[in-house]
Amino acid sequence: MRDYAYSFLILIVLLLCQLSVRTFFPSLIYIPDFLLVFVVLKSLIKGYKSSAVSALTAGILQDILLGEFIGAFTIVKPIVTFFSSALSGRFFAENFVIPPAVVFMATILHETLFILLKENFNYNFDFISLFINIILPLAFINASIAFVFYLFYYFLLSEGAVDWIE
Amino acid sequence: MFDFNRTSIITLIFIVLILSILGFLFLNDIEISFLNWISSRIFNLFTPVLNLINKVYDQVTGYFSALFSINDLIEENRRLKKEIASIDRQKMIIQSVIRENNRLRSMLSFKEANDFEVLGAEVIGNSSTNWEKKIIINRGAEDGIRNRMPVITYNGFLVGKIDYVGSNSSHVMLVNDSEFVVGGIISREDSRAIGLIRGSVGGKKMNIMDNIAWNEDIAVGDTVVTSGLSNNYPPGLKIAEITEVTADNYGVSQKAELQLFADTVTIEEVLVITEF
Repeated sequence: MRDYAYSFLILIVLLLCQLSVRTFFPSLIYIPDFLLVFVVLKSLIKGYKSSAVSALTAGILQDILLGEFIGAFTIVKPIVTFFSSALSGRFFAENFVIPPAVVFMATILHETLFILLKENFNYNFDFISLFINIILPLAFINASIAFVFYLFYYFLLSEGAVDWIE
Repeated sequence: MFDFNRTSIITLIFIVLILSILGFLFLNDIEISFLNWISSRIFNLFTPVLNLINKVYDQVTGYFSALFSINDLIEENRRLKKEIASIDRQKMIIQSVIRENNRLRSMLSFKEANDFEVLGAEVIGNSSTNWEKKIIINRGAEDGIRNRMPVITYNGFLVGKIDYVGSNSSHVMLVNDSEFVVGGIISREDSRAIGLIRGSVGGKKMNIMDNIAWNEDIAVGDTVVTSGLSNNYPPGLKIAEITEVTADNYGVSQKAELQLFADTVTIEEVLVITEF
């Protein structure tokens, strides 16, 4: 229960960061998805069972702050986390390439599923152009953030600090 | 991922079931009042924190910018004092013109052109996704904000409309959101072409005005304002300038690309039109 409470607090802080990032950097073109980075990293490190609740909570919180209780993120985030957890326990902790690469792929899947669920995007916009102009740059940004997050996590853990991703 | 033992399979089935129910509710737009109530409570819990973050950030940046630019501020202060003296003189002249204008209007029984009531608000947060262009403002139902009220900048440019109302904060759907649609009209003496202005997706500020009749006279540089044909927006709010005109629907109609007047990315304060 305490682990879920920690995760919940981290999700709230990350969501607040995500909502205020444009206040601090007004000319930012792409808003990084800190929540997605966190739940994907958690699923990679801890597996699906412990990250599923976090993914669902992250999706619900994100949708609520967009003005709806059950929206596309509530559905998409747990699905993406399920796929990203496939590599859980199958790579060495010292491998710093796998987590950003998985976040990169997860972002592409996450944004594609989101577009598929939002009917106004399906009819009015060209997917290839959205993919090149939004999804790909966002995947790079999220992957870079994941790299920094994972490095931070790895060194904190090797120093014997609290396992904050729990 | 999953070791296929009994517990894992039960967990998996449980998660799939929950996601299927949520998916069903989402895809069929089913609203459950209890969930809406929880949602609004959570929204109302978050926005004071966002407000606080915004205020702290403003104070910190204000303090440091004042600290590092004290000479510029003294110079600016001197210049502004001179400007104020000049503006005071102009104000006196304008006031007499307004009085005369009001008197003439009442004589002609004219209705005031822009007699709407507004409420100032600060932007305290932005959208958490790249797909939906929304901002969060620090005014809500307790300040008299209602759904679909138009939102403008201090210089009168259309910013968007109220999309979701909390008790002390609200969401504003920006004019360049992909779901935003408003009736527009060309503001030129010899052209009153009408069309629908739609938002876009992505980082660009580009909007589209379509459904313009093929024989209407529109040109690059024309200003587009709200038409006022619906009851949702007052007429005459400035929206954008035309940057490109092309034929649409195989020449049956015309389409124009627009450059918005309001900078929706760096916006910090807005006015909500509460009555018009």
